[in-house]
Amino acid sequence: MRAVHAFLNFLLRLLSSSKLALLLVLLIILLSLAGTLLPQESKFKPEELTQWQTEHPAVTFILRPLGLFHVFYSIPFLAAIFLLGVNTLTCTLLRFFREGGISTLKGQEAFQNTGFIAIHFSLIMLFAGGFWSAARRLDGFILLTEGQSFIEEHKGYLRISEGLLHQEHHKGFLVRLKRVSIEYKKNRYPIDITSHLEIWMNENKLAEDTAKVNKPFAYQGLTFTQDQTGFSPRLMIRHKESGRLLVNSFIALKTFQDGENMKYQDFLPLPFFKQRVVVSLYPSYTQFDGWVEKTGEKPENPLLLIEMEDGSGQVVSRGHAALGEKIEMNEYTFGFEDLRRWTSLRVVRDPGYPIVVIALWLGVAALILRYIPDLWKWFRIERYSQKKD
Amino acid sequence: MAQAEIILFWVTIFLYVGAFCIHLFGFVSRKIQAAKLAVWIMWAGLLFHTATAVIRWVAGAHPPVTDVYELNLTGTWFTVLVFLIFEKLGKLEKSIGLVVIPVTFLVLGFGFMSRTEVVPMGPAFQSPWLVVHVIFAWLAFGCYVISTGAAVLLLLRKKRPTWRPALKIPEPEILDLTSYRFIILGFTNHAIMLVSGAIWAKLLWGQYWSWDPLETWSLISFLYFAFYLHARSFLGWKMRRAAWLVIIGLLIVGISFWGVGWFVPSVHPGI
Repeated sequence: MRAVHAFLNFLLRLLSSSKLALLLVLLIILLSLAGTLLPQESKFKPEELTQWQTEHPAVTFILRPLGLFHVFYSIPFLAAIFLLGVNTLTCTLLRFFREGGISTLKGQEAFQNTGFIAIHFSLIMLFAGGFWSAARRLDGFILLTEGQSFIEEHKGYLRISEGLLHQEHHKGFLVRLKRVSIEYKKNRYPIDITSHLEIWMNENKLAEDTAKVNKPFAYQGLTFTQDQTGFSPRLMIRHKESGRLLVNSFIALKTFQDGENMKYQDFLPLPFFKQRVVVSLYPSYTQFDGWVEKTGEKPENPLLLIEMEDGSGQVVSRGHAALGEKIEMNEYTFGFEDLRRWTSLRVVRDPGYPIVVIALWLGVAALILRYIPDLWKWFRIERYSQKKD
Repeated sequence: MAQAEIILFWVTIFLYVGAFCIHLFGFVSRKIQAAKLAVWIMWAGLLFHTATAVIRWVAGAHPPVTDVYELNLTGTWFTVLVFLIFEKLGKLEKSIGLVVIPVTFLVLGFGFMSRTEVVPMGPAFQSPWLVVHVIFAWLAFGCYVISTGAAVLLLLRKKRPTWRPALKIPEPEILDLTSYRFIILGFTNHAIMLVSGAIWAKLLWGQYWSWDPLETWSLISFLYFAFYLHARSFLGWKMRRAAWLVIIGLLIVGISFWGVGWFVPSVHPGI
């Protein structure tokens, strides 16, 4: 019994030790350093990560078992955060009761003590909110071309990750992208992006709203955040001789930042092509001496450029078609039938967020409260004493 | 970059460098008037600095906070302003300017070496949180720089206790307290910067924290200063030990602001 009591005493002393807190803070700092300097699974494409690991076999051999390729989700990091939470809680409670409980919140050092307790309470709230977010969140991506719909269910997402405690209760409603509007400055720089969305259920329109950059659209606990946009040309490909229709669909071209300009391009991963076919789009263009040049980002007179490359990446044939035109290249006929925009939206359900926001503001307020007397003394009393001198 | 802006920028740099040289001259030759003149030149520098920022603001039709050059222009403006206001209020010694001024013109020069062309503000920046986030980030930086200034002077004094330059350098205990107080101010601003950044990130990216390298480094520097405050309170780390902690802290903050973007790709705009 005495041994148990001694052990519990030791545990309490350990958990309430400020040295342990400092050690844990240092450990979190070191692990975070590793997380930013080493390639992380969450930030790198799998093939890039594999390549890095192949190039650094010795380092990988040591780092992999330590979980340093996914530091922020690794057991040591989560354990350090959890321990810091427990340490903060025990430290705060012990200090609070040791120094007289409620009575410490009165008297000469009332501000400092209240601030001190509130800072640490806000930290505990932050840990709790963070864990709740991680455990119960849904984080998905969808990509829609104007006119397309998405059904809110697991398989509807392009990419989805869910917390350990997130239960599969998808809403099942339908999200339709009505249109995407982009405001440009000087016909070149996008300054506002808006996706106009509709929510449908059993053929009834339930809501209609917009998701803008910095102004997400929230519906039934899900937040739709505006991510990227680009162009989806409708491409019709036929076999030239037989006239057989091979492709008739919208192709969402990737959007790249190319210096000051945007670039809309992708390749067609279609099995029947002997060469690599790269499709690019100029939203508006001008033509002189057989050359075409992009003139802006607004789709005023779009032009589709098609290039066929051989195995070494050399362009073997090149052609372009304005909207509604057709071109013949090798044994195929390409038709540029329509042009729409696509948008990608991040869909998030995060029940921990309100707790986190309250904790953050409480923390700031508590920090101010904790240090007001020190600063007040600095500004008022010391100045007075200087004048007096 | 407009011609007027280039001229104003170089006048600003010239004034800050001039202020530093005069300050240094006063420091080593024990001429107190030189320090006073240096502070007046700093005020003049701040005036031109303000004009440069205003011209930039007008040319870009947005606050100068979107790329490295603009961020450095704004950040150093806050640093100098905080230093001069506290000096005017009698809360800081002029000699701390010996550290503040070189940091200012080095950061300005670093910004000038990056792209200086005016670019319209992208959709991500169209948020009221941008102003809050950036202002508090730079206020924190300014406070950390001033705190480092006090820490450097403290180390100089501690290293040579008999050393008595003409400039009034306070006792090490006062320098230690000044350094600590500016860490408190910086830490509070740092906290508001992180909170506003988290709220903005939620609106912009759908999540308040994404372990982005810049975010992570910002947290690292925040935790580092939390460590400093705890070490001071509970382990009694004061004077020289605390001064070294502050200097290392400024290096970590510097890496967060300018170093991370060089080594690791970040979704964070402006680095």
